[in-house]
Amino acid sequence: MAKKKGAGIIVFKVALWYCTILGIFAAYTNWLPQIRGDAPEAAVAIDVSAVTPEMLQEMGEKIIYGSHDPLGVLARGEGPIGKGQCPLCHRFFMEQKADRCPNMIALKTEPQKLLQVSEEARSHERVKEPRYEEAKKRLADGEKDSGIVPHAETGGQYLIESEYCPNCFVVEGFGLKGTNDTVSPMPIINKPPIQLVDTEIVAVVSYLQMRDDPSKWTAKDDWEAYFGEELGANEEDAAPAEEKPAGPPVALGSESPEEIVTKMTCYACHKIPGISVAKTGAIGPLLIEGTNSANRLKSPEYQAAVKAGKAHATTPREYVIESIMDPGAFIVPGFADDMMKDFKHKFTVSGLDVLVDYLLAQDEAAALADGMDRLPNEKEGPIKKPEAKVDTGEAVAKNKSMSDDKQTVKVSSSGVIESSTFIGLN
Amino acid sequence: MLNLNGEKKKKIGAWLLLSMIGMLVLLPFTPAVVMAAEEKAAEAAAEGDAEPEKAKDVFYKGPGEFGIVSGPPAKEMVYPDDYGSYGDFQSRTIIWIANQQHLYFGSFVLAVPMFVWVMELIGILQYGKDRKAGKKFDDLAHEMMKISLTAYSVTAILGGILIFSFLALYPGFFRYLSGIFRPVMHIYALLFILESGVLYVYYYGWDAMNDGDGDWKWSHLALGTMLNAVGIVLMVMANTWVSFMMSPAGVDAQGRFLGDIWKVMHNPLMVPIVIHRILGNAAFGGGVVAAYAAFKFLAAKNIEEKGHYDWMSYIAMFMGILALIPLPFAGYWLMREIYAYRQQMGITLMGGLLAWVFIMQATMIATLFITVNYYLFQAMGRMPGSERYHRYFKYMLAILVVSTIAWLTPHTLVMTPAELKAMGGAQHPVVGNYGVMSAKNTAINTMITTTCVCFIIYQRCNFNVKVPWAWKGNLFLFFLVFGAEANIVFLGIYGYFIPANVRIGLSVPQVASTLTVLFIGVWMNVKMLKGAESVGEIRWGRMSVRGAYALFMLAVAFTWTMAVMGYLRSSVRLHWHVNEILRDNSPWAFTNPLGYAGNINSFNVLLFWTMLLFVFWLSALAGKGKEKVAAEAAAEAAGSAVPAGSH
Repeated sequence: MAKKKGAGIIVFKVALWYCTILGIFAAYTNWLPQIRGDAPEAAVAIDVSAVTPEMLQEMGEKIIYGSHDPLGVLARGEGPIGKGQCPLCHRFFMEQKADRCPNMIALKTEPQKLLQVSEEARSHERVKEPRYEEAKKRLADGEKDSGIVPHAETGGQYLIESEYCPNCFVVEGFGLKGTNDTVSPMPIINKPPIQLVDTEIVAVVSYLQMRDDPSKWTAKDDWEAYFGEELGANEEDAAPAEEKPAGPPVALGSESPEEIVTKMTCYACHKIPGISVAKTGAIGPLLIEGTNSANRLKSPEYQAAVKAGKAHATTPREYVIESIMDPGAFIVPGFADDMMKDFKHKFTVSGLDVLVDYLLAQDEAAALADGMDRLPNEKEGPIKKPEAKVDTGEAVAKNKSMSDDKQTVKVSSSGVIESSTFIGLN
Repeated sequence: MLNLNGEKKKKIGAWLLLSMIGMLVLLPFTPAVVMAAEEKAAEAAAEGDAEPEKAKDVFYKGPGEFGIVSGPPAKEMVYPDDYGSYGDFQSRTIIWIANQQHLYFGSFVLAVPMFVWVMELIGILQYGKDRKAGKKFDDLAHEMMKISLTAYSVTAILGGILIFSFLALYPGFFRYLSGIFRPVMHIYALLFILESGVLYVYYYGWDAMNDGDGDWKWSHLALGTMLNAVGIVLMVMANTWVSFMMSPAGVDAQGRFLGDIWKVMHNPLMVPIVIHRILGNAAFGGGVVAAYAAFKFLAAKNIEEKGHYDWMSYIAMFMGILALIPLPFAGYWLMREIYAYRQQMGITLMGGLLAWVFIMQATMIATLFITVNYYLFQAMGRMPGSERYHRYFKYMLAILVVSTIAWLTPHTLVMTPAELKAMGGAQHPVVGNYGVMSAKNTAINTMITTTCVCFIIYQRCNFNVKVPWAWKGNLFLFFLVFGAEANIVFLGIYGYFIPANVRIGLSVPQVASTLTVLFIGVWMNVKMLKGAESVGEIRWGRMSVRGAYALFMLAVAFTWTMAVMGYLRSSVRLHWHVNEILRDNSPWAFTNPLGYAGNINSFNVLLFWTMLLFVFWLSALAGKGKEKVAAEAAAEAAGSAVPAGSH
C-alpha cells in the first residue's frame, strides 16, 4: 500500500511538471503575435466598364497587400501579404525587407539609374533591353509553361506579360540558380496557387502604374493590346449589370459623351462643342482639348507645375486624364482651383475613355462651328475665325456622331453665369 | 520441435528463418506486379483502339513530362457535400488531433526498434569481451521492445480512428487521395501485417534465440534489421501522401493521375521530408525512452534498480542527442528543397505568415540545449572527480543564457502604436541588432559548441589523463575550442558589414567550426583517455532528482517541437488540401494563429503522454505478473534462481 502511494506521488509530481511545461509553452505561443491566415476570397470577375481606374488601383492594392494600410501592417511587425503574395518576394516599401525578386519602388540612393525610378517608369525601359529582344527570339515558339511568346511593346504590356509569363523576361540577377536568368522563381499568376483572374491582374498593374502618378494608368489598354481582345470578355461570371451597387452616378463606357457630360454636370461650368447641354458654361475653360492640351503642356505654367512635382502628363491624352482625375495638378491660368475632386471615383475605365476621346477630338474649328468661343479670362484669347478654310460642317457632323441625340436634360445656365468665381477647370 | 543443438543445424535453422521472412517481404508487392501487368495490357489494348489522352505533369519536366491520363480530375470540393462535421467544432482540429496521436505512436514504434537494434548490436559486440556488459545492453533492448509491443496496438487503433475521421469529416478529399494512391494502398496494409509478424517473432523469440553472440543471436538481430526496414518502408509510404499534398507530382494540372505511381510517390519534397522524419523520430524515441527510464529511476526501490534506470536514461538521452545533432542540417536541406520547389512557399514559412512559428521553434531548440547541458551538469554528480570541473558550470550556463537571449530576440517587436512611435520603428536601435541572422547563427553555434565542451568534460571528469602527450592534447583542445569560438564570433560580427547575399554564405564556416569541435574534439578526448587512470567508478543511481526532471523536460520539448513543426509543415499548404490541385473549400480553410496551435499542441502532447503512461503501466503490469509467478516458482524450488533476461 505504501509503495503504491509512493508511485502515485511520483506520477502526480511528474504530471504537474509536464502540465507546467506545457502551460508555459502554450502561454508563450499565445503571447506571440497572432496572425490568422484566411483563405483568399474567390476571384470575383468584375465588369471593367463599371469600375473606375481608382477602384482598380484600390483593388490591386488589396490583392497585393491584403490591406489598404500596408504600412500599418508592417509597423505591427507583420507582412502585408494579400492573395497575390507579391510582397513575399518584391519590395514595395523602404520599411520592408524583400530582395528575392526585383524591387517595386524607386531607390534614390542606388547607383544604377534604372533603380532610381518607379516601377512604372522602369517597365518602359525593360522592353527596350537587348535581353528582352534575345528572350523574344529564344522563346519564339512559346514559353513552355505558359505557351506565351514574349511580345510586349510598352511598359504596361511588359507588366501584364510578367504576370502571365514570368519566364518571358527575367531581370538580370533574379533567375533561378544555374538557369542563366532564363527561369524565374515567380509562379504564373493566373494559375494555382495564386490564380488571379484577368481583371485582378489588370488591377495589380493599375496599382503599379498609378501608385506614383495616377495619370500613368494604361493597364486596361495594355491588356487589350497585348491579348488582342476585350478585357473581361472571357470571364464567365462577370457581375450582371442589375447587381451593381447603388451609389453616386458613375460614367460608364456604354454611355455617349452627351450622357456622361450630363451625368457628371460638366456643362455647369464648361462649354463643350457638340454637346447640346454644354453651350453656356462660363466658369471653366472651353473644352477643346484637341487644341488646348498640346499648348498647355508646353506652357511655362505647366512646366512649373511639373517641376513642383504636381503635374506629370507628357502627352495630350495624359493631360486630359490628369485634369479629370487630379484637377488640382494644374490650374489653367486665369481660373481658380474650384473643380470637384471626386471624379476619380465617378468614372469607370471605359467611361473615362469615351469622354477623353471626345474632348481630344474637339478643336477650335469645332468650337467655331458650334458658335462657341473662349471665355475672356482665358490666356489664349478669342478663337480667330479662319478665312473660310475650315470645313465646319465636317467638324459639327463629327461631333454629332459622337454625341447622343437622345438629350433629355435641360438645365438653365443663368445661375451659373452669375457665379462670381471662375473655377480653374483645366 | 526444432532441435537447436549443433552448429550446423543452428545455421540451417537461422537461414531458413531468414529466407522465409525474405519471401514474406516480397508478398505485399505481388498484387502490384499483377496490377502493373493489367495496366500494361490495358495500355496495349488502348493503343490498338485509339490514341490515349496524354497530359503534362505538374512537376516532372523533360522526357517524362507527359503521361497517359489514368484517373479522373480532382473534383472541386463543395461545402457541405464533401465535408462532414460534428456540431460547431472545427473538423480540421479533430483530424489534427487524430493525426498527431497516430504520428506520435507511429514515430515511437518506429524509433524504438531502431534504438533496440543499436542496443542489441552493442550487446552482441560486447558479449565476447564482457558478458555482463553485453547482457546489460541486451536486457535494455529487450525491455524497450516490450513497451513498443503494447504501443504497437495503440498505433494500429489510432490509425483506424484516423481513417474513420477522414471518412467522416473529409470524404471528398480522402476519395481523391485514395484514388491517386490506389496502386499502393494495399501494399501499405500488407506491409503492416508483415511488420506485425516480424515484430512478434522478434519479441517472442528473444529468449529462445539468445545464444550470446552466436548465429541465432545474429539471426535475431537480422530480424530486428528487417523489422526496422519494414517500419521505414511503411513510414516512407505514409510520408509520400503527406509530401504529395505539399508538392504534388505524377498528376496533371487538373489533378488527373498520369499512370506512374512512382512519380506520385517520388514527389519533390518526399526524400528530404523522409530523412528529416527518420532523424526526428530517432531523437523523439530517445527522449521518450529517457523519460520512461527517468520515471523508473524515481520510482526505483533500491540502488541497483536506480542504477539500472539511471544508466538507461543516459544511454537513451545520448542516442536522442546523437540524432538531434544532424537534424538542423536535414532541416536546412528540406527548407532549401522547399525554396527550390516554390519560392513563395519558402518565404511564407521563413518570412511570411508562418515566420513567428520559427521563434517558437527557436525557443524549443534553446530549451533542448539548455536542458541537455543541465542534465549533464546533474549527471556529473555520479562521476567521482567531476568536482574539479564544477566551477566552470556557471560560466557555461552564462554563455548558454546569453546565447539564448540573442537567439530568441525577434527581428521586429510586437508593440502598440504609441510604443512604436516612441521607439522610432519596429526594430529596436540596440536590441534589434540581435534580431538578425548574423547574431542568431553566432548564438546557436556557440550553444552547440558549449554543449560539445560540456560533453567532453563529462567524458573525462572521472579520469586522470595519463598519455605522455597530455599537455599537448589539452593545449590542442583549448585552442580548438577557443579558435572555433573566435571564428564563430568573428564571422558573426563581420556579417554586419557585408551584403545579405554574401552574409548567408558565412553560416557554412560557422557550422564547420562547430562540427570541428564536435568531431575532432571528442575524437581527441577519446584518444587522450586511453590508459587513463580512473578516479572512481561511475556511481549509477546517484544522479540528482533534478536530473530526472531535466529528462522529462527534454522529452516534452522533443514532443512539443514535433507538434509545432508538424503544424508548420501542414499550414504551409495554406488553403489547399493538395497544393495547387485540390482547394480546401471548407469553412476551416484558414490557417489558425500560433496561439491556437500552441493550445492544441499542448493538449496533444498531454494526451500522448497520458496514453503512454497507460502503455508503460500495462507493460509493468505484465512484468509484475511474471515476477510474481517467477517468485512463487522460486519459492517452490527453494533456492533456484529466477531466469535472467525474463521480462
